[in-house]
Amino acid sequence: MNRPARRQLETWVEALGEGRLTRRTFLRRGLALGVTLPVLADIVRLYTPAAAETAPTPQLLERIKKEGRQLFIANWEEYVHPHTIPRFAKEFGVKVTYDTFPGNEQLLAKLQAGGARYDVIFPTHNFLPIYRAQGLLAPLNHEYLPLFSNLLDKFRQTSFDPGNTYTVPYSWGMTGLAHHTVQTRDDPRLGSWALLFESGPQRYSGKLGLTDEREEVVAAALQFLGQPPNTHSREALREAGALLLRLKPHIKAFYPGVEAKKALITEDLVVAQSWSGETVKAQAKNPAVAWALPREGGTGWFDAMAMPKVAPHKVTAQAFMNYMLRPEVAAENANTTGYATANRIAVEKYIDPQVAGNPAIYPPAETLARVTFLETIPDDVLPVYEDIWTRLLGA
Amino acid sequence: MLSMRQRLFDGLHRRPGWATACLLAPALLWLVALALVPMGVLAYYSVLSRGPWGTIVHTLTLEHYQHILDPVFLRVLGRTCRLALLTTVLCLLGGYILAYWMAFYGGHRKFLYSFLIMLPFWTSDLVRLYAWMTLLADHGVINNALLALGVLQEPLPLLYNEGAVVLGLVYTYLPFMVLPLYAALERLDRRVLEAAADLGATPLECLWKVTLPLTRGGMLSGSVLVFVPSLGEFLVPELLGGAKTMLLGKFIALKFTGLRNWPLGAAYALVLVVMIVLLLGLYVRLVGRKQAFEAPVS
Repeated sequence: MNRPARRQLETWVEALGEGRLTRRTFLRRGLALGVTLPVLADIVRLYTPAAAETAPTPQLLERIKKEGRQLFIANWEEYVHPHTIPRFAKEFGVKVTYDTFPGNEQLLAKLQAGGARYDVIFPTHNFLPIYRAQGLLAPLNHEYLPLFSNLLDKFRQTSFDPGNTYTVPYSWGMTGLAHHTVQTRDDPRLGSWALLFESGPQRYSGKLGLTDEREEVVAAALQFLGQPPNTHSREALREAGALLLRLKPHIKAFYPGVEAKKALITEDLVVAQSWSGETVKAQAKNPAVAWALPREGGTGWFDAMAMPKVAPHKVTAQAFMNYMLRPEVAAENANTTGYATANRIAVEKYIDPQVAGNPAIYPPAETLARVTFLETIPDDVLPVYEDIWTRLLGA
Repeated sequence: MLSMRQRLFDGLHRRPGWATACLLAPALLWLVALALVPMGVLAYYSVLSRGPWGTIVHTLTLEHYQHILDPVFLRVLGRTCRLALLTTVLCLLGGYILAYWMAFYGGHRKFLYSFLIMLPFWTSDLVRLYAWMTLLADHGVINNALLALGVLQEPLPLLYNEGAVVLGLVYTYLPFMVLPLYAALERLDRRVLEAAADLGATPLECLWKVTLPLTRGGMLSGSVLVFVPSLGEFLVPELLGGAKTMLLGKFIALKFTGLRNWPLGAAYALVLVVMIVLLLGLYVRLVGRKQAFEAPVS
């Protein structure tokens, strides 16, 4: 490297150290200068300023102690870094009971039934209005959440929980189409939902998979038909249902997210509707797996942390949410789960450059333009969905 | 003055009804608390209305029972009965051979064999079914071995079809068939067989005319023990069934958790309960009241 370039890099390193330059900008400029990514990543690790002091106050620890130092969490499978929970348990002196749930409906059913005593749950955005309408959530005390301001603006004040009275957004992802690059090579349908719904040179019959989230499956059919995925038109929904029934003989199974990942790795599935992050993880094990947001559009979602009304350890629950808002923790989670964090500081400073550069995690604007965030199905349309889903699964 | 104990004893002696009640109490309590009350709750839910967002509204209605004629439900019901019946027949065939061999040729290892039959119960069936998933998957153990040996060019679709579900059901419920059959065969008086042989019956005639009729009770109770739980099985179709083999147990679970329709799920569950009660009634009629309740295994 020549002398002026080196001097330039040094100025930027200094700026990075003082926080005048974001991590992302530093990387971009460094790359433009011709420095390799691993070198830049090392510099970033060395020079990024240490996190602000966020250790729990003695008063908070005292309240946690009064609650019995326990916490019950229900989360999606493989949705945190393996260290996240043990570190929280150690730092706050809390015994954490950690459950996973396979889908939104199962979590909602558990809470509606009333037996589950969870402190923190991770429902998806379009289910939040249902939780709120039924009074299943306890309002949050934002005094316990000083790090809430770390969140990206677009995840605050959403219509799903105005004012964030009940929820703290966690991370977001997309639902699109995963495919096996070798077996689908030169397939003209690549990049379209047609890979699932139409027969092309090859049908991949019996090697096609769908998620088992009803809204997402119906949305995919609607998008293939050129309809908006949030439509309430009975006509369009009926058509989507018929399309799915025609597809059914070729479907291997309806997979909960993580199961689809396993089948993609072993190549039991060639084409699968899949959550972006699951494919990112599958790709790490089998490089032939690829993911794309179909040109007709895909769906987007974000999951949020919420506290059920019946939560027995409410202070501990909110201390946990605040811990999850720490940029280092959020970044650590995002680096391993394959999903984008809603934490602005984490994105700017702590995300692994390779994760930040992965279009399946942080999509470019033209991809993002094709993402529709699912809305809550209104109660009068729900029977239509129930009918479609019952026929599809029962047939 | 009589001691307390003496008085209690006298009391028991004079009123045998009280003693019987004491002895029956645990079983009755169990029956009422764990079977009748939940069933009552189920029946109650099945006549309630579905409110907004899948809540329950306490307004009575019978509309959910109209859905019993829903073609999708009837199709699932038909498929469930067919696969449960197939499972029972396969269990009966395989189980009879196994139990016969154990009872007649087991020698001093009989105990070991019946222990081995029960051994799988020591592990959760969830874990055991996951093991079947790894065995049967397209790139699972069996297919990979056959592909490596050059027997196959393309993996066989072993998982996620009716065959896999029946395999899972037979695997899960075979012990319930073998044990009553084994008990029945074990109790079979060998002298009867000797007499038949002395009177000129061939071994096949012995089996057909003596052994099989005399172990009818074991066959019937084994079949009930396999058929009834197969009807309501949830885990096997959930894990091994894939997209095309929806069975009744999974269908009911779908109504409750997947579709937020508790009253309809309860109505379907009640249909299953009524079917099973009718079947058990038929069983009692077939083997006779005395045999059904007193000596269910011979």
